[in-house]
Amino acid sequence: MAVFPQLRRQRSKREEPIGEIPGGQRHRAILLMPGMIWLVIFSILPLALVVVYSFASRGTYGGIEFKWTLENYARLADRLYLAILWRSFLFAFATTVLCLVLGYPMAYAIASSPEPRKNRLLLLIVVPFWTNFLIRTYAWIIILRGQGLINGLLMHLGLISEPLRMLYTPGAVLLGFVYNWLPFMILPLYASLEKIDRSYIEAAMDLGAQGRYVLTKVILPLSLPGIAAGCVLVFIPALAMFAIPDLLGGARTMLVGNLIKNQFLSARNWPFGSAASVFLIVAMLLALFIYRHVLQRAQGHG
Amino acid sequence: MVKLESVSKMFGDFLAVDNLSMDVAEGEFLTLLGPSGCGKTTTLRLIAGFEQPTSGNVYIGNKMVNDVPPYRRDVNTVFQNYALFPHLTVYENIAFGLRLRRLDPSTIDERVRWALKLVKLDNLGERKPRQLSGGQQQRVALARALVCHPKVLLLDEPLGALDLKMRKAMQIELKSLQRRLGVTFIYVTHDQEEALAMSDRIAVMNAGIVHQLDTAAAIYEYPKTRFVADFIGEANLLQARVSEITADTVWAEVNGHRLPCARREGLRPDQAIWIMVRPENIRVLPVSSQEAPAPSEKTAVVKGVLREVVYLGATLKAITDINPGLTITAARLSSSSVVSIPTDSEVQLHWPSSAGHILTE
Ligand SMILES: Nc1ncnc2c1ncn2[C@@H]1O[C@H](COP(=O)(O)OP(=O)(O)OP(=O)(O)O)[C@@H](O)[C@H]1O
Ligand SMILES: [Mg+2]
Repeated sequence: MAVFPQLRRQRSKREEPIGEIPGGQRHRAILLMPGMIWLVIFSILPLALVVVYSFASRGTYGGIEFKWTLENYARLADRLYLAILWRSFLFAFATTVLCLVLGYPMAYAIASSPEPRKNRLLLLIVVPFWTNFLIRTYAWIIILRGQGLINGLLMHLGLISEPLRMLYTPGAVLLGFVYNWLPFMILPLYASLEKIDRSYIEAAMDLGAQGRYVLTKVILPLSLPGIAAGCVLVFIPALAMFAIPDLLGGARTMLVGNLIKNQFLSARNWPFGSAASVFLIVAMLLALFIYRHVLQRAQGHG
Repeated sequence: MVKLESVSKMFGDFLAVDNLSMDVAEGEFLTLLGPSGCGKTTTLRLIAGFEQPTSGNVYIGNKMVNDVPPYRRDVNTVFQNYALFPHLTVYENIAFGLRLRRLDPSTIDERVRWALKLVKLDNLGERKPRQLSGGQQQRVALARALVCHPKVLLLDEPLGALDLKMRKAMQIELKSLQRRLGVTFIYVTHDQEEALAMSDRIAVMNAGIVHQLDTAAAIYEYPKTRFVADFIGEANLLQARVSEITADTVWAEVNGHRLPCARREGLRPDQAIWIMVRPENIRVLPVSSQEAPAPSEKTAVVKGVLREVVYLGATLKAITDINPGLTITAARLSSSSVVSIPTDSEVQLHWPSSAGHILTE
C-alpha cells in the first residue's frame, strides 16, 4: 500500500511537536514523573480534600465529621457572608482597575524609552521585590498611622491640627492592594506594548490618525493580551488576599481570604472554610475562562 | 508634485541621504533604485514625514512641508512589510483612513468596495490579514493607501516578499493601475529589472547620493557614472585614456589597443576615462572569419582568446581574455554562430564605435 514508506515515516516524524525523545513513550513518562508527583501530592490531593471537606460537617471539638451536607454552602448565602464575598469582589475589581489605569501609562512610557533607560526603569519596577512582602506592608503602617510620616508632615506644615485617620480603613487596604500588585500589571503590559511593531503606529499616522486615535484604535487593541494577562495576575490573587486586610484594615474590611483563614485557624470550622474556598476557586476559574475568551478574540479566533 | 531641495539626513554622524534634489511630476511613476542601505527607505520616510531633513526642504504640491506631521500630508504609503493592522479585518483595514475623515457610512462603504474591487479582493473583506497570502496582503496594503485618494503614493519595495512569477504579474498590474488612476507613484526597489519595466524615470542611488535621474532608456544607454553602468544591466567597463579627439570620434587607448568611441564633449587628450560597452553590442567571430569588418572610425576591433561560453537559455555569454587583466564579455542569442567556436581558440570581438560610451566618474 505505502508506495514510499520511507517518505511517509519521515514526514510523520517531522510533525511531532517536540523532537524525538530517545527511548520513546516510556522515557517521556519517566521525565514527566517528578512534576506529576509534585502536582498530585501538593495540588490535586489538597484540592480534592477541600472539596470533600466542604460537604462534611463540623465535629464537636472542631474536627471533621463525615456526615454529608450542603449546609456549608447554604451558610455562604447568609447576608453577612454575602456582604463579605461582594466586598472581596469589589476590592479585587477596584484594585485591578486602579492598577490598569496607573500601570498602562507607566508601561507605555517604559516601552517607548530608549534602550538603556528602559532597563533601568524595569529594574525600578522589580526593586520592591527585594524586600519581603510583610516588611513592605509594615512600612505602610509606619507611613499611614496616627503619628506616622504623612500625619507628621501635614501637622508640621500646619495643614491639619489633628492626625487624619488613614490606617485601618478600606482606603488603606485598597492602597496596600494596588501597591502590592502594580508590578504584576505593569510587566505583562510592558511585554505586550514592547512587542507592537512601530510600523503599525506609522501606518496609522500615514492614514491620517494622530494621538488619541492611534492609542484607542491601534495600540490599545494590540496590547489586549497584555491587559488581559495583567488583569488576571492582579484580580485572582487580590481575591484571595488576607495578609494586607489583616495588617492595614479594620473590622469593616474583612474579605473572603480573612474569612477562610479564620474558619481554618481560629473558628476551627474546616467544612465551612472549605466551602468558602471552593467558592473562591470557582470564581477564579471563571476569571480565567474570561481571560481565555478575551485572548482568543484578540488573536482573531473568535 | 513632490520636490526635494538639497535634502540631507544624518543619523548621528552617519549621512544617510546626501544633498538630494529631485522633482517628481504629477502622474509620474518615479523609482528610487539602489543597493541595500543606500537610503531609499529614508528618502521615502522624509517625504511621508516620518523623518525630518537635517537640512534642505521637502515640497508636496508646491507647499513646503518640512514641519507638517505625517497625518496631515497628502501622501499615503505602502510599507515594506505592509503593516496591516492584525486586529482588524481586511475591510476595516481599508476603511481605517476613511473613518478618520468623518465621511458618512454609506460613502465609506462605497469607497471600500471600490478599493476591494480595484485590487480584486471583492470577497475577502471579512478575513483577518494573517489569513491571507503574501500577495493578497500586498493588495490590501495597496487598497488601504489608494482608498484615501492620495496625491502621491509611496511604495517601499511592495513586491519584495513575493515570488518571481507573482512579482512579474503584479508589476504589470501596478503599472496599469497607476496609469489608470493617474496617481503619482514614488516607488522603491533594489531590483533593476523591476525599475526598468515600470518607471517613467529612475533615480539611481548609492550611499545616499543620487547618481542619475533619467528615463530607463537613458540610464541604460548613457549612464553617467561607473556605478550606474555597473548596477543597471551588465556592462564591460574598460579603464582607458583619451589618445585622440577627431571630428566625430574619440580614440581611447585601452591596454595598448586603440578603440574608437562615441563622441563626447568636455574631454581633453590624455584624460583618464572608462569605456562602457554593453555585452549585447559585441559580436564574436573566429579570427580567420571573412565577415569581420576592418578596424575603422566606425568599428572597434580587438583580438583575444575565447575562454568560456555560458548558456543562459535565450542568450549566451561569451567570455574572452584580451590581455592579462582585461576580459570582455559578449552576450549573443543562443542561436548565434558563437556556439560553433571552440573554447581557447583565438577570436576577434567587434562593436560599432557608437556603442562605446565614455564615462569620466
Ligand atoms: N533610524 C536610524 N538610525 C540610524 N541609522 C539609520 C536609521 N534608519 C536608517 N539608518 C541607516 O541609513 C542607511 C540607509 O537606510 P535605508 O533604510 O534608507 O536603506 P534602504 O536603501 O531602504 O535599504 P534596503 O534596501 O535594505 O531597505 C542605512 O545604512 C541604515 O543603517
Ligand atoms: Mg528599505
